[in-house]
Amino acid sequence: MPEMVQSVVANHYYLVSMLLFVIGFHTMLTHSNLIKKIIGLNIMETAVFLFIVSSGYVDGAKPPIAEGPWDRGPFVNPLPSALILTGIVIAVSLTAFALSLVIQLYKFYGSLDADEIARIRLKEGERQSLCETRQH
Amino acid sequence: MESTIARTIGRLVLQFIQVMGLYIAFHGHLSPGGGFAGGTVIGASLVLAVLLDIPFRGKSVLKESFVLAESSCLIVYVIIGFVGIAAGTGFLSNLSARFPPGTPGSVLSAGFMVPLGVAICLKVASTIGSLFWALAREDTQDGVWNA
Amino acid sequence: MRTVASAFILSLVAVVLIGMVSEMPRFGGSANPALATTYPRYTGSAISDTGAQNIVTAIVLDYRGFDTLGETTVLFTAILAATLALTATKGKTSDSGK
Repeated sequence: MPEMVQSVVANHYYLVSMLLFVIGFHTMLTHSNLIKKIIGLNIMETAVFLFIVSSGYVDGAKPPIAEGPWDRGPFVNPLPSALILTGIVIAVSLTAFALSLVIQLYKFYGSLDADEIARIRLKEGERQSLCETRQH
Repeated sequence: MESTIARTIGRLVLQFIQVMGLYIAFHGHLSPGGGFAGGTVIGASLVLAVLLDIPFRGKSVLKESFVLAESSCLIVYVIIGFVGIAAGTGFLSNLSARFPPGTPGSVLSAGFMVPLGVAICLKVASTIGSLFWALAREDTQDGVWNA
Repeated sequence: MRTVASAFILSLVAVVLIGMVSEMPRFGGSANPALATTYPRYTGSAISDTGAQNIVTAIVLDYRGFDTLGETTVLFTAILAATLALTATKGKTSDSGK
């Protein structure tokens, strides 16, 4: 237990991204507005990117841009940055598609509230089954 | 937006934003940035053009040019990859496929990184521009966006 | 009810994440297992292998260029899907005359 607290204190830079992740998760769980859920998803993705990029830091190293073929000074690990570049693009694509789906939902149901949409769908389902039982 | 001041300043600043984005994309192998950052900056200039309703030449064919940019940049990427196969080494090989390496430090160096960077820049710019164009046009009457 | 359940789930997630932070290697240590094999090879021979001074661009476009091709395809597919979802016809199709 005390060595766990010691290692958490030594790695306190990672706690910020964990805090952001929990905040994003809370936003996604509690609010019922669809746009707020998408914002919570974006906050969670930002937290994950921050965690992975900051895990590549090396003490006392310079940014990974060489000044010439002679430059061999200790560089910061460039691999996490290169991989997160792809991740950021995927996050943007996901947000774009989710927002266009929200636009179509609003046009169809007239509301941006997830509970309201579930209630309308439930009532539609009851009405449909009632019509079908009356036809038979 | 109906503001005259914003529209005038936007018309002046738009070209400089695009030059900045192209600079970031062309110098991707020398300074921080690269294709994705440059594409985002040029995409932001297209968003500005939609928001302030700035008239520019070629606004009527913008939708077809977005489709052209998306498809042709992907095809250019794959063709550059096939040059590696034609030279005997694997797909997407850089100096092994005898692309000119140049002197490290000048703009025209590093094999195929400049053409690839420009292709990625145009692709990301057309992605962001076409997305915002499609989403903003939901709210228009006769193509004029009322803020 | 919703706040109680979400508080319980969030506390579980927070405990797991803090446990994960305590298990990570030291922040900024130069003997991390992540810096063992590919890092010396990429930073040592980036200029002679590719000719680019920016090592991140050399990784994204040369060493791992195939991943960038996949990501370009993801961008294309996302725009295709978003445009299709935005221009879909509204409402249900009518059954008359079909």
